[in-house]
Amino acid sequence: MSDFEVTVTDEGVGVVRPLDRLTMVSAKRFSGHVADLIGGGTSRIVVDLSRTGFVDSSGLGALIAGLKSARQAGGDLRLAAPSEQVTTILSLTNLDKVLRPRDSVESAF
Amino acid sequence: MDAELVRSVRLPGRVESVDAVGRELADVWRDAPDVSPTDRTRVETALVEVVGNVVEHALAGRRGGEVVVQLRVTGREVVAEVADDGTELTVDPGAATMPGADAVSGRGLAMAVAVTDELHYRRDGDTNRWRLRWERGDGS
Repeated sequence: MSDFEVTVTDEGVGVVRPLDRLTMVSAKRFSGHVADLIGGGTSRIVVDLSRTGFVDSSGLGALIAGLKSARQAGGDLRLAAPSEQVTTILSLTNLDKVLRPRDSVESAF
Repeated sequence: MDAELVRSVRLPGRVESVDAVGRELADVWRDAPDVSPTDRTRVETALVEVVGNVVEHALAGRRGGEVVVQLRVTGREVVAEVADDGTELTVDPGAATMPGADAVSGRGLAMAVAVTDELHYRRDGDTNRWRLRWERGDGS
């Protein structure tokens, strides 16, 4: 299913863009894309949430797992352009400290 | 909103039903346009976690299982009742606590508790019954 867009910028930053909700339904596919990027040597990753209206606890878990993998590979995983719902749940789960959102993909690294 | 809006939906006991909840809610908000964005976020966040818990635990590995969600929207509150005929829950969801920032799972019910004004679970014969309630804000 093409519910994600995955690109690598000229600077070597991987961009994963969920095109719809990031939930229990799609979290495993998301993790697969992150693992593919890291396996291919791209460990600086931006998750572009500009088209992701909703994230659930499984989606958050996949973001944290991706963050850990990216850091173990010497890189990082950062969020860009979260919706109001995503900002709300990051705050109430205290994950806004470790997954501090950036305004845009370009300003993430 | 003067009249009360009641909507009921029966979903199959599989993971995809988690996203079906979002589609059903989008439909409800079209008929209840005065529910604020903040309240919509609270309702959807909690309801998705509870239905996710049901399909992942109570109905796991079961063929033909179903989860029934009934939503009632009034001018003052939103109430959801979620029922399934799966296995009994072994933890008290109302006592769920938020795990640390490095945890990759275990946040679902703590999130649901955090965004509801009431969240109850009870076993009723062979049925699991959840009741979630949100007091509506002023739209700010």
